[in-house]
Amino acid sequence: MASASTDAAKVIKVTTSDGIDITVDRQVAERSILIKNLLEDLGGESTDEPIPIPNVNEAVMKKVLEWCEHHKADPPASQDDDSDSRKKSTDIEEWDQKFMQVDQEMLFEIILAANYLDIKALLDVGCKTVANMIKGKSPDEIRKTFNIQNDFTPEEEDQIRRENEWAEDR
Amino acid sequence: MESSSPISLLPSEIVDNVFTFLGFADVKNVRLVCRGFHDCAFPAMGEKFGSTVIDLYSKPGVEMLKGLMRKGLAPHVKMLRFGCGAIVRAYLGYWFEVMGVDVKEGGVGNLEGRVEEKDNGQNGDDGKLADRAKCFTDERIVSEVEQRISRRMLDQYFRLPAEEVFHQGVWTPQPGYSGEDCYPSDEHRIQKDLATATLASIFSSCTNLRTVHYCKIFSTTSLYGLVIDVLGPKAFPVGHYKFEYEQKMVHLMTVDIILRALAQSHTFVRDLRIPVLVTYLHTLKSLTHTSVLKEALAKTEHLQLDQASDGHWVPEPHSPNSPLFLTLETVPFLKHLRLESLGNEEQQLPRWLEISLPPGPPLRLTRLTLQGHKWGKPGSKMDMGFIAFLFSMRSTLKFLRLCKMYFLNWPEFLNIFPKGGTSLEELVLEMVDFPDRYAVNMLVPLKLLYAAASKISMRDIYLNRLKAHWMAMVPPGDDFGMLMMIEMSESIYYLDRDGKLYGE
Repeated sequence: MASASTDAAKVIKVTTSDGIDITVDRQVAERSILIKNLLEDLGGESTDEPIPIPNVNEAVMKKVLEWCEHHKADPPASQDDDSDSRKKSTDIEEWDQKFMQVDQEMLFEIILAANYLDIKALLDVGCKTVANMIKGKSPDEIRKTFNIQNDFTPEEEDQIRRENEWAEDR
Repeated sequence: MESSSPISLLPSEIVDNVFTFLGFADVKNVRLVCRGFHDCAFPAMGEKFGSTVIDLYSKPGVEMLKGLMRKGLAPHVKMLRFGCGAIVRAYLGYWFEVMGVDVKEGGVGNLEGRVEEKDNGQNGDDGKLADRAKCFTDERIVSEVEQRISRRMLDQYFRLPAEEVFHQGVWTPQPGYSGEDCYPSDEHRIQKDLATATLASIFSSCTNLRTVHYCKIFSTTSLYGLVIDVLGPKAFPVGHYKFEYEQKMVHLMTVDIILRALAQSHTFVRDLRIPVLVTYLHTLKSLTHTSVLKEALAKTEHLQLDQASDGHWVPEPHSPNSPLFLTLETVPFLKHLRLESLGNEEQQLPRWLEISLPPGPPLRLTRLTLQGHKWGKPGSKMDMGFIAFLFSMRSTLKFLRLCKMYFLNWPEFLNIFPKGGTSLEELVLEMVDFPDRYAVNMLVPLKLLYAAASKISMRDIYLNRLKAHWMAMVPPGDDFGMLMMIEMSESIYYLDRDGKLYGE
């Protein structure tokens, strides 16, 4: 295991859902815990065979790998105090902000892929990006942003408003 | 969600996750977007819920809590904070009375209206404070209020809906109660049992509940310090005394209901904060029966006890319950203990508070915070009891914070923590009122103090005195270099042995 992870030059292949093979540095691909675990299970040697990624298409995979390439040297995320410190801030570093300037469909595809491939940092960036699209907006503006229909009855809406009012931020 | 909206691609767990990045205000808006969003917002709502103080004295508060819990919020709630709105409201009225404003229902309502008008819905900066105060007061007071009272505190007074100012409580306190008798009639007991059962069922449904806090109560002293002495120092009304007493009972009965409900529901909170009648180190006394208290504390790791008594004004109400001793047996999981407003000798504490360590293995605390009026005079029973208490846990204690330790016998205290002999990592000394007639007790040889812990923080200590006295005691040739780290509210200073300060 140790020898495999130090061997940075090594490349692997992944096959996307639309049947395209992509060659990528093993170190880059291992940002995905899913791929990393798969490779470890395979024993680190038989990596000539492409790894099937049936849930992610080529366009999205390329985008995800672009992110992994940029962040390949990042220290691994600590699992410990993720609940508090991580959630406090919706700050996104500049490169990631630019990276996430895509249409909504792509954004959500990236989030789904990050979730499937188990790339926590990318998933967080994606979720923060969506959170930032919601921040400071009224319910109506949020509906417009995401093209959502209001499916509440006026009574239900009233009820929630009352609940909200009561749950005061003190 | 419509199929035409791309966000419907995301499974609900991910949308949940997105919402946890939002603040409370945004989460509330999200709940109004559509049913899908509303349901996904529960985890975020549950997480943010801890910032709401639930008024256990008001029927609307309890009803709303029940309603929210029914709709799936309960498993996501990790923290619940309770309070007793009546006290704030009462003080609100009280404050107006002091200021010569009519406190009749209509009067308060009108006043609230005017305050709201001025506020214009803006949650403004401290400048708003002046506007608000101007509604009903003169310039002198405005400027003093601005100087002395934080905006947040004023907010608490002003944001209460007028119709709830004089609401009927869920249960009714009666004067002259003690222990079980605080519910003097069958009707009162029925009210109490009902409230307990309701709360117990809510606790049971909150399967991930870890933290229950009862919000810090207003003591007369703090109120006096912050509000009344600014607004009416000379004409302090007499009715105050009884009023304070009654409000305290409302608090303690609210806590009684919380503790009973915790015990009844077998909910084990890890982090509990409650006011108790009297607390001193390892003993605490409450209106709640000791057996109930014991059960509620069975799994507690982090315990904060605020002393409900305010020795300056209120005599201890009689409680027939025996005090609960905090020992390894009664609170086996306790790691952090925080005691506020400890009793002191001058208050003539009852006999049972004479400090002697209970038999059996001592607590295994890692953090201890003591915030009190005064420690015993050096060599007194209290002081010795305190030293013995600390000594009993010196092998596990890592963090110790002491506040207002005017009388502490420092040489003895420091003997507990010989260099290299303990695990103490941080010692925080706070709020020593230099220059003070007792200040001489604080003049510990710096070298000794420094040996007690690897990190020493000082807060709100008068620097000049500290420098002058402590620096003189550093033996020449001693090479501590950066001797002392002094935390002054926001900035950190280092003090070297020449007495120079270095800002960070």
